[in-house]
Amino acid sequence: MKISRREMLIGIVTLFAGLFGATYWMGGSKIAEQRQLAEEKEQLLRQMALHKRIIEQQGSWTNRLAELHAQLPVYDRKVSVTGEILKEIKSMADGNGLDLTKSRADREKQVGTLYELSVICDWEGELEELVRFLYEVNGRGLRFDIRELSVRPDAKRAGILRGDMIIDCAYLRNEETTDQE
Amino acid sequence: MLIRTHTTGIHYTDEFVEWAVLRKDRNGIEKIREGAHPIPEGFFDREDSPIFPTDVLLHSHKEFRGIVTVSLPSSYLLMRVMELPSSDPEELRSMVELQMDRISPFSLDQLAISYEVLKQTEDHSRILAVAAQRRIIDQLGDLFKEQNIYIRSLDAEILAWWSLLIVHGDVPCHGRVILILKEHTEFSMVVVDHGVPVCFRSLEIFNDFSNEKVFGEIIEEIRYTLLSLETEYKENSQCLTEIWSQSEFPPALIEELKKISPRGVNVHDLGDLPSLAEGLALRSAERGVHHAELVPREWVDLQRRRQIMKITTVASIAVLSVWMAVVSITGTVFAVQKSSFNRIKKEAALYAAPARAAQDARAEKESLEKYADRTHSVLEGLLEVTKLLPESLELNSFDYTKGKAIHLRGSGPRTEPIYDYFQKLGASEQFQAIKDEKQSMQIKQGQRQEGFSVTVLLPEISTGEEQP
Repeated sequence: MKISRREMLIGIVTLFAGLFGATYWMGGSKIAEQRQLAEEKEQLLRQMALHKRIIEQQGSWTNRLAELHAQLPVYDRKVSVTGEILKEIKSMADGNGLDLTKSRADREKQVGTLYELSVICDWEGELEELVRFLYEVNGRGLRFDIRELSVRPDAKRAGILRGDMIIDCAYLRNEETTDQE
Repeated sequence: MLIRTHTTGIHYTDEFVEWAVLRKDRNGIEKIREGAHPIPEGFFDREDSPIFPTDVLLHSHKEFRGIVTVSLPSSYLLMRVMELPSSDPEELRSMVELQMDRISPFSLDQLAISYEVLKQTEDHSRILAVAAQRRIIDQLGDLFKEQNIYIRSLDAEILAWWSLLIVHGDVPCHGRVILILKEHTEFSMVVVDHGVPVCFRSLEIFNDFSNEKVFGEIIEEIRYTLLSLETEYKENSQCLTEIWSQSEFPPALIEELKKISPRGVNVHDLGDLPSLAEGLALRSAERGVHHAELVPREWVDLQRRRQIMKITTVASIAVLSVWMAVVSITGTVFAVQKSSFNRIKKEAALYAAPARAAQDARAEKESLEKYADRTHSVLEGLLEVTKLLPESLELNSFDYTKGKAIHLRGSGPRTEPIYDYFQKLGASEQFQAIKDEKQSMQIKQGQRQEGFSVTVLLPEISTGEEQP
């Protein structure tokens, strides 16, 4: 078989192109995979650095959290606390002469080991009774916090105010506390 | 053009084989190596001795580079100087073949024919036609092939000597000169007119100086040659004879030559010239279109194919090696990256759970902080709003949203206290700012009343922690 220099050159170039082309064609997905791996690796490294920083700094808030936990009531995990809380709020209102005309509790929410329950109340009474009630709520510390309050004079009764309020109640559950400990 | 080329000339005598390798590049031609091997005594005395002692080159062929040129002595050649009415290479070739077919005892298919231009004008050429038997050439080629040496160029030994003489400026340029070359394998004469040969003739049959009768025969042969030249190149009796001999030339023969050389006889030592091997390599390096070349075309094709195959093989191996290297390196890099990724993934997993727990704890703490912060509680807000309220104004509504705002609506008999109230609210440290202050007149139970509304902005609840 006779081959010229030109044919030889074309053959070598074809071999080169074919070999590398086929390799790229067959290994192209690997290259894409490697690129993705590199991106994921970068992301993991960033995430790891962030996690390390969070872990390093956690001491500054765990101590404060323990202090705050000490001020909260602890309920059994299986017990519904809605009734108990509503009763407690009612008791505080009654004790200060404030009339709660309607109360309802929202759904219980959990943030970490902390549980939150919002109670929406319609109320009526005199300004002094309202202030005393608010004062007592303040005195209960972390347990209760009034998120919203509306006050309006009763058009039909002089000196009587009415409105509604949302009271956020915080507490812990028994089992969670044990688990954490 | 290639940057550099190599040529190798190989020449043998009855005593040794010599070779020389030249390199040609932009700076010129340079001899890079040469060598010689002695031929065993009595080598050519055997009846079955080959025409070339290639066996001695057994260990030398690796030294040879580029185009390998070997020469044939005049005794193996049929040589004729011809005057041809053309300068076209193809036409010259056809004419030479025609003429050689006419004068050769062998048919054309038994011959390798070539020519070398000695002198040329636009429409005329003086050439030396050279022919050798294919049988001899094939035999020579086979002998070299046995030693893995592939002849690429086959030259005439006498032309190599002629070229060396020209290069060294040892040929008189005026009048007629008879050049006699006496060497181990070459005994021949060249008749030169004004620097250009008009006749090449082998005197090998007279190469026996032990018998003085031969001297007379040599002189007769020379006389006959000169006579035959008269018809074509006119009578020129004023000859000068230049003898180039490798050994001592017989004085008796010199005396005889003086009789036919009115301008005298000069004797030179061939050893003063470079080796013939170098001359062959030099001719090969500087070859032109009209260069005598007796090597068969198929040998050239065969060598070209071998060279192409060699280059192809080397290039293919190089391509495959590069490919394998690239694939191996890439594979290794991929494996290392994968391993590094897995290691980091494992390490990251170790931190993920504690970090998540820490984040949950922080969210919980922030949530509790909201409860703990009473600075801007509804009680504090209500106390501040009522404390700042002028006596002449009364509040009609109070809407508090923790961490956002308190919306107030009220009324009074005059506008001045309302504006004072707005001012006091805005200046209070308890509040951040006020906005949407409105005042409007209204008639209540037949009396003019000034109504107002304002939004008091509360500071947003701060967690007091920098988010990582």
